[in-house]
Formats: sequence, C-alpha cells, structure tokens
Amino acid sequence: MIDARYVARVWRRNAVVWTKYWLGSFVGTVGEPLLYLFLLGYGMERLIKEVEGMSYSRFIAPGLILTASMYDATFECTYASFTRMTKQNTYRSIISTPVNLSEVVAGDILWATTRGVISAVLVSALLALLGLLDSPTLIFMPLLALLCGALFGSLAMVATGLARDYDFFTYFFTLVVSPMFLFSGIFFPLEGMSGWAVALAESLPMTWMVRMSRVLAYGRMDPAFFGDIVKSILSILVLFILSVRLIERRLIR
Amino acid sequence: MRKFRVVLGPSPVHFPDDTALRVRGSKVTVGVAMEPYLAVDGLSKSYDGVPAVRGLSFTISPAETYGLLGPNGAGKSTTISCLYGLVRPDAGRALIGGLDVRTELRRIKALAGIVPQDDCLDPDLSVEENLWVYGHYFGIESGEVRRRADELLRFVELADHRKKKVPELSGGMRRRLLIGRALINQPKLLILDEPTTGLDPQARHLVWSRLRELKRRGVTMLLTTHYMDEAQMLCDRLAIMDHGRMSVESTPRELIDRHVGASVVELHAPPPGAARPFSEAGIETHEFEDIVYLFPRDQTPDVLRKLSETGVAFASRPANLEDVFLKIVGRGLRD
Repeated sequence: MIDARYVARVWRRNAVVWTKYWLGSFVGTVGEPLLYLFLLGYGMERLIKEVEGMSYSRFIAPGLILTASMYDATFECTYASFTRMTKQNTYRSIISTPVNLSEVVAGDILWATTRGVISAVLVSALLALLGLLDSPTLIFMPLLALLCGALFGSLAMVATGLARDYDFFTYFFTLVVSPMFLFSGIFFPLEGMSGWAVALAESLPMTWMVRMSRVLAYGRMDPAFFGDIVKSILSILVLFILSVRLIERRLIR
Repeated sequence: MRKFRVVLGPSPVHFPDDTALRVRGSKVTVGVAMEPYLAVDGLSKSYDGVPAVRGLSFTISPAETYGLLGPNGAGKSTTISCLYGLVRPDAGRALIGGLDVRTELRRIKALAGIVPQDDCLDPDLSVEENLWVYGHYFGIESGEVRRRADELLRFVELADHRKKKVPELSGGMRRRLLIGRALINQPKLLILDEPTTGLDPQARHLVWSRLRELKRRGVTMLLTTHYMDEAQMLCDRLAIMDHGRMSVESTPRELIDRHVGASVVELHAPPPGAARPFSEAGIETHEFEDIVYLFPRDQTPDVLRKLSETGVAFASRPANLEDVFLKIVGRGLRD
C-alpha cells in the first residue's frame, strides 16, 4: 500500500516549504539545547562536582542532542501536520492526486525525521567544537537521530490523529513530551532510583534514546544498546500504523 | 440480424441506425452507442445512519459535460467524493475509464482532475510553486511540470501573478488557480464542485469561458452547481438530485420543455383567487409567497390577453432551468 516514490513527493513538498524559512528554524533547534547546556549545565556545575566520573555539562550533552531531534520531530508532526490536515486542507488536496493518505502521513513523518537528523548533526557538531564530546563514534549520531525523529514523529502523528483542536497539543506536551524530556535520564542518572521510578522511566522511549546517545557520544558500550534499537524500531512501526488508522478515520468517511 | 462487435474502452462503438437489440429482455433501439467514460451504479452512502446518497446511478459519455444539481444536502458532494476516494460508498460501484474506484483508485486519480469546493491551495507556496508541487505528486518531471505550469498560468490568466503568495490572491484568482492546478496532469475527466460559487460576474465569465474551451478540447466534465444559468450553459445533460436520489435527468432544453414549457407568467402580488380561473382551465400554477407562477404552455397568448383585461400586475418571460429546479425540488428552504 505504501510506495516510497509517493512518500518522497510529500517529503519534497515539505522540503520546498522549509527552504523559505530554514534559517529561522535553526534558532529553536540549536538555541534551546545550548540554553540548557550553558544555563543549566554550567549553573549546576557549581553544585555538582561530577556525575558518573564526568562534568555535569558532559553528562547532559548527549541527551541534549536528541532532545533537539525529539522536539523538532514532535513540533513538525503536531502543530505543522495538524494545520496541514485541518486548516489548510493540504492532506485532502494531496490525496486528490495519486498519492495515498498513508503516504502523506509517511511523508510528513519522514520530513519530521529529516528535521530531527539535521538538528542532531548541528548540535553534535557544536558540542564537539566546544570540546564537550570527542568520541569518534559521535559521527553515528545522525543514525540514532533517524530513529529518534521517526519515533517521535510517529508518536506526534498519533496525537494529531486524536486532536480535536490545538488545545489538545498543550495536554500532549505537558503530559507526554515534557515528562519524557525531564525523566529520561538526560539530567540525572536513573540508576539507584526506586523500582517504580525506574520502571516508569524505562517505559519512556526517550530513555532508550538517551541511553543509546551516551553509547555513541562517549564511545562506551551499554548492554541494553541493541535491545533499545529493537524496541525503538518496533515502537515506530506500531505508532506509524496507529497514526495512519487514526488519520484515515478522520479524513476518509 | 446483423452481427456487431462491442469494443470495450472509451472509443465510440457504432451500430447501424436501425439496429434493435435485446438487453435483459427489453427492446432497445440503438443509434450510436457510446461506452460511458464514467458509470455510477447504485451508489449509496450513509453518515452515522443518515442516508446521504441512496442508490444513485448515472453515466457520462466521453467528452460530455454532466451536471449534478440539487439543494444543499441532496448528496452531490458525497457523490463526487466517492469518485476519488474521499468517501467510501456503502454500496454500489463507480467505473471511470473502465477502472473500478474501489480497486484502481490510484490509476483513476492519475487521469482525473479535481476542483474542490473549498479552497485547498497550498498557502505555504507561491502561485507557480502550487502548480509545480502538485504536478510532482503525479510524478511529472521538473522540466515538463514547469512547461505545463507556464501554459496553465496563461490559460487561467495568472501569469502576471505567478510569484504571489496564495493568501494575497482574490477569490477569483484562487478559483482559477484551483482549476489550473487540476489540469496539471492533463486529465481526461475534470470534476468540479461548485466551480463559480462566490465569484464576481467577471470571474464567473472567465471560468465559464475556460470550461467551454476544455469542453471543446474533449475533456469529460462532471460539475455540481447551484447556478441554473451555469448548468444550462455548460451541461450537455444534467441530473437534479434531492434527498440522495435522482429526481430527473436529461438535457437542459428537454427538461424545460417537459416540466415547464416555453414560457412562464408571473403574477405579482395578485388579489386572492386571481389565479383560479387559470388553474380551472387546466393551467399549471405554483404559488410562492407573493408570486403566482403560471406555466401556460400553448395557451400563453390566451392567458396574456385575459390577464391584461384583469389589471393584475404580471410579467411573461421565457422558461429557464431554475423554473424546472424549483418545480421539482420545491421552494422551501433547506437549511
């Protein structure tokens, strides 16, 4: 049912639009992680001597790379996709052409993934320039961002499939995205927390992402690494299929 | 009986003029038989148990312009949405160019152009980019899509506005761009949902002229409209729908002749009972608010002479499709 050529055409539409405002999009993408790094990182270093044998800034750096990917993909497939689906009728007009609705959804998620990868590349390069991260395996970070972008793009698309109006996304960000950001081990180690807290954190896909990002950022293997990859891929598949179902239910009567 | 061969496909099949053949037991005389380009058969659709279209059937021949008319809620938009996959019918089927909508949707969409009722131009793109990007959805390669876009921008008279953003366009320009966009894949079938609703007279006339040009080029067209002058001018045949069913179907001329006759006489604010002598004489009369409509057919000169003797204010005019429409659908509001 899904033909990659048609998905690419939807992706290309989004890329064409992005070329009109790409410079502005970097402000949020790169600006936000840097704010956390400088204000939170260097501020907290006055209290925290070291975490897991490294400076606090170095500890939070890998997670901030994928935070950029997560937020970019999530914004793209919530507010932007929802606007195209409802207010602008863009989805309806694309499915009047040979492109299917599942390909429109896939194209939007693929574009969100692309945004996530671009962000990860920029933020990784900045952190490497600042000397915070220096492992050669850092060059594989875009591959991880691919997973991260696809996962959060699909999750956001599920939210878009459920949303009745823009207010829904306020709940989605407050109840899903922000806890994911704060409780996924970016800012504090999860080891040694009580059992229920660890179980909760382990259920959040961002936790898997952050753990994988540390493997690549420090060049230090983690026994959970391959399991995390498999869990991420399965989650992407499930969320993608669910989002297509939800959006088909809305647009095709 | 002479032998004949039926050729499947959009090409016309010629039978000898006197050929009589039996179709499911009934005798049908065939002049020129044409394989329909679009055939809708028994189409039905309900939304949450509320029927919108009930067993609708019609066909459109190649290069024919066919109109679907009807009050709001008659099922026009649901019908055309079924043709390009936006609505899944509960029953019945639709064939376009010999392809079944249920199984060959991608191929059907590749050969159809759709001008939707609501504005769904891409507001993030300029006028020309709207055409390019839309063309890419069909897989038309860049050089070709730019060549076609240039041609279409001239065709819909937007060449001077090609760099403009969509939000800067007037209503008429948007509609022209929607029509231009629907032509980017050089469609065999153009589906137009209320193509001139909300346009000023100049814009309407430009749209009509372009649609007539497409008709001359042999594009098959299906359009819905609320404007009877539009339907009368553009459509070879039309159907008036009401409550999801087809009420009547024919050429505009034949519908007027059959249902109304050549002329209509309107009595303006007549005194009570002024129309009674006419209805008693067997003339069809319709009363609505402060106007009585008479459809006197061949008694027109007679009726006019009698009216001029009574002193009632009246006007006589040629009958039009709107008279047919209001007679069939009724004059009550549908909202």
